[in-house]
Amino acid sequence: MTVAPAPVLATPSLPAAPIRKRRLNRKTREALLGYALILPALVVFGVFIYYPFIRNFYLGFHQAPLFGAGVGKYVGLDQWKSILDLDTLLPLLALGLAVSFGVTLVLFVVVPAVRSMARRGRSPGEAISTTLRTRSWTRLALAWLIIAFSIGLWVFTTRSDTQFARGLATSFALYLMMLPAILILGTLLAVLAHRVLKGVTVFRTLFMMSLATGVGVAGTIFFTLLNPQVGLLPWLGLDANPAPLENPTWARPSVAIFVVWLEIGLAFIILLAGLQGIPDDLYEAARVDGAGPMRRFWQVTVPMLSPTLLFVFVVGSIFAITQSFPYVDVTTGGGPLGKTQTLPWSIVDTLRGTNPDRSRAAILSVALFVITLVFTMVQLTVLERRVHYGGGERG
Amino acid sequence: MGRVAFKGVSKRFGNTVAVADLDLEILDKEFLVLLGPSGCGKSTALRMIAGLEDPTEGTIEIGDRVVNDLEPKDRDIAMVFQSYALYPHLTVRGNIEFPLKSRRVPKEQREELVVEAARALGLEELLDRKPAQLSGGQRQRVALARAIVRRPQVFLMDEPLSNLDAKLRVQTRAELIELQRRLATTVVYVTHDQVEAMTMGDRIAIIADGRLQQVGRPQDVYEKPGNVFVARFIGSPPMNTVTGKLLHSDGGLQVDFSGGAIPLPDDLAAAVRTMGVTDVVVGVRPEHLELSSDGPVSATVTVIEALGAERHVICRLSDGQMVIVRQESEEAAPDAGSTVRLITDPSRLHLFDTLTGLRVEP
Repeated sequence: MTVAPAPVLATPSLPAAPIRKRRLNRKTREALLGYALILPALVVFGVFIYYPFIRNFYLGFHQAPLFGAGVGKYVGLDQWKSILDLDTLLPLLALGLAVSFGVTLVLFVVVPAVRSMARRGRSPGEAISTTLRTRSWTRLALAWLIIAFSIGLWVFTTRSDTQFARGLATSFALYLMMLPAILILGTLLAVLAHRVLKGVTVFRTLFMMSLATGVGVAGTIFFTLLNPQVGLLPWLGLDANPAPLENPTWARPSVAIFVVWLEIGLAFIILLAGLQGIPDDLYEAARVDGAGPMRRFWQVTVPMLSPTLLFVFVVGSIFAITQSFPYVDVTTGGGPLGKTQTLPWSIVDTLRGTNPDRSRAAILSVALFVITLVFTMVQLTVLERRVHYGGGERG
Repeated sequence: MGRVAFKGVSKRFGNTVAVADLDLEILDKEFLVLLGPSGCGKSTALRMIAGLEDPTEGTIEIGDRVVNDLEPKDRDIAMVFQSYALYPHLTVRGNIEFPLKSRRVPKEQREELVVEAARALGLEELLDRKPAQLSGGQRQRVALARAIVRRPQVFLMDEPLSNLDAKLRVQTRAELIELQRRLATTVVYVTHDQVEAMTMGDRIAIIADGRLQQVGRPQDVYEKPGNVFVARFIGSPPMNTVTGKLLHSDGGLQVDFSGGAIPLPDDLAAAVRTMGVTDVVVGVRPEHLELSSDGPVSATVTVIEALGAERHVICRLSDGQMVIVRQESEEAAPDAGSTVRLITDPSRLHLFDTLTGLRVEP
């Protein structure tokens, strides 16, 4: 270690670079470069997403020709009315909005206000005004909209006997079977794999394996598995006639099991990553503080994992509502008795055969889009909330 | 009773020895600091008291019980983590209440205890906030409140001040000592900061490479470091340690540096002879060195650090070894680059055996 005065470097002064005259100023040049960079993506999205999307509306306003391609005559809203059964749907949505207003008010304003009255001894007026002040208006509005939509669509599926209503009912029924299973099983598997630290790569590979399997291949395997003659069920000694996939009672649960089986790996891997993000010292603090395994799970794991769980929930919901076509098509093909004709499956099915009705498919697609949009809005607020959540605690 | 004892405790992770054959008794109501550089095993020792790590060998006692097989929750301890480990989804109240809830303390009693702990640390106003809305110092106090709320026998603290800024650290240091006096409990405190150790500990246990180097009151450790490691670790600026040759001259013993020789006091010389030491490391604290025109050792000044009240003159002996001299700022400062002569009171010298590193004690 030598401590010596640093020699002063003689810096030769360089001649200043000649100023080149440019036609465009810096801001404009940067903007042009920006547009140039997003252009390829814009073209791809434009051709394959934006144009078909807009074209859907156009098709919806025109009758499909009886034979061949092309666009038939303009019929305005007529087809929308009949296919989506708007005469039934719109009043129900309006009713949903009204009922939802009350529900939202009770759930997010009255209940918290009453709780704060009970806990802090506030007067009713004071409690309601503080609650309203601390609520985010966009979130209240979203809650209102989502509850309204759910109520409206649910009643609609029981009142209308259109292809749209039946598809929607099937989609929601499948969704309600799949999503809790994915969340609960995914968490369970992730927690188990996380505890067995040494074999974690093995479990990760095992649980992820189904993800790498194509839906078609997996469908064939599943079909064989549930075959009443050679499959798993007779081997277990169960009478599987008719085969579950052809049995009106068991078709939906079977498809749900198929999807969960195939896609659980993704939920598992996301939740495992979430678990690994929970600092160990929180568990250690909980152990020292006297919390047993169950209390640690409910008081540390679940709350710390809740942003990840919400993420899986939202992404899983969108997936379950919009992506059901291939899973249904390779297992039941929409049968038995149309029990598994989900909305996405119906859209594709409308386009099959000798006489595809492209206008009907277009209108159903737009409806599916609107439903998905509502879910996406939840996703956006959830993601925004995640940002508030994690930050700040760790130094 | 808040006594803690390590009896022949070792901890190995695979082939790595984190703690080797530790024997240490921490007295009831004592503030004991485990001090050492990072990775020396001090945190592992603390975590073994908590029950977060199991010792590979040996027994650990808390009070009169051997606790090796007890769960952390049954050991009657509380721990403050370096990161504070607050539950981010719970309010301050929820955090402080957590250990009570885990132990099913009835609600009315819980509320009383939480308020009491919050008051002790000045947190009453913050009870309904979440940890993310608190400053570093406030979070640290919440972690302390969560620890004291249950009134355990022993507090374990793992570098609790290291995430605070320098000014707050000094203030919190004093508050922690006060808190310990008030609660009259045992504290085992892990730190790598020797200033913290000196100012806070009733006793300090210095650990290096998993081995206990020395235990003692701060002043004793400072005045009589047991080996070269402790000598260099305690004190700021650290003790000067230079290698010197022993010169036997008629009647006496001298240590020779390549810039001059210093005669040893008789008792120290006798100790060197009886121990049969051949090579020594000589230690002298910077405050015990002086610049003097008739000093026996010559050196060259390389850098001068002015700290306001005091000044550190960094010098090099002629063989290149570095020594630091601490001066009061009223004393005349030498020029950088000039040659000076150093003098010390021979009774202030510390002698260590080069082979074993151990102190030569008359």
